[in-house]
Amino acid sequence: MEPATRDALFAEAMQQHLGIFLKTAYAFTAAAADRDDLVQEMLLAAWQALPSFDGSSKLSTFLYRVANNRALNWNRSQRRYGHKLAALEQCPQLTLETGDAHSDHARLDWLYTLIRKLAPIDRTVLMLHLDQLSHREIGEVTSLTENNVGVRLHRIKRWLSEQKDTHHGP
Amino acid sequence: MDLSHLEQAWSQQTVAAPAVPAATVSARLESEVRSAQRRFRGTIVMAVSLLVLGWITTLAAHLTGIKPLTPLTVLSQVIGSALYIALLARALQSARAARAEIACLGGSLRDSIAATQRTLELQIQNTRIAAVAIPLVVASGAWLFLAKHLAGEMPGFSAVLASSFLALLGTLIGAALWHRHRTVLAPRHRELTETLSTLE
Repeated sequence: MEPATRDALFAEAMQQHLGIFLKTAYAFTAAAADRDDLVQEMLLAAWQALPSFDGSSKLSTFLYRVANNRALNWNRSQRRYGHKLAALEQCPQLTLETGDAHSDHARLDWLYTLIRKLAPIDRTVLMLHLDQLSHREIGEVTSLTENNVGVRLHRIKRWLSEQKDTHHGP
Repeated sequence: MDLSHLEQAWSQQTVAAPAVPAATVSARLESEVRSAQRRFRGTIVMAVSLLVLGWITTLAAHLTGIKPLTPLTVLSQVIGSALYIALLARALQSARAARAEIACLGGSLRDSIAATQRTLELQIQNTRIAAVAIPLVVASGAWLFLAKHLAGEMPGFSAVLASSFLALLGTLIGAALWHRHRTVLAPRHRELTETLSTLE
């Protein structure tokens, strides 16, 4: 892949799909410092993986894969890439902004806390579902069958409902 | 199971626009990756240079008559070089596995986790080898001091002190490596295996 093509794709990822990295980081880490580290790692991973993007899927699908793969590998590589990312300390502090309603913040906090309690694959499945990907697209990212995605989502939603009832969630 | 209000809150999330342009971030990433590649290449070049320098010094000492080669010296030099080359080969193998892992980052979760697991398995093997090999090399060094004492080339107290120090060092290095294997690498491997099994 030509460097110019990579740069153009990376710019598109930064401008239009930054939310993918950010939401995934929120789902996998609770502490703000860890989240920043993970987002930086995801950006590095995306930049390194982009030459293997062949256009057979949407760029967003590719980035969902990179983000989730990096999040799953993050424990091990945390120290390994630590020194590389020192130069990225000037990166913007990324935040998620919701509507003004206080209840939305509370709901999101509660939802992210629950997402972090799920098994890693289920976390990914739920996030992709919340981002309105179809079962087929979720399957493309996770390599699960459409049926399996459906079964998992049903189970996860039931569990979320139980948590809501048990812990009086928002 | 009405989770619509959660889904609605989720959909209202927006990302604050980054202050740094994508081109700047891209340039920083490229520079970081390139400098890491240079560091790795530099380490390999330095390691090979040390090996070549070791042989040049040995041969020069022999040819100038400063320290003639004996069969024992040649044997230890050959064994040392073989171990050194094996170590370099493992380092290159690990680097290849890390590159393969990066190439799989845009692939499916299964492929990516499997690639990570392969890299981790290589790390586990390296740690196991090092946990045995390093203490062995150190122990042979300790034995050398005792042999020197027995040959009358070293006082008993110095020989015991040096041997004890090396034995302690070998034990500490071995224990540290084993600790890393037990507390970091093995649990991570189990975690990845579990994650992979949930994808079956």
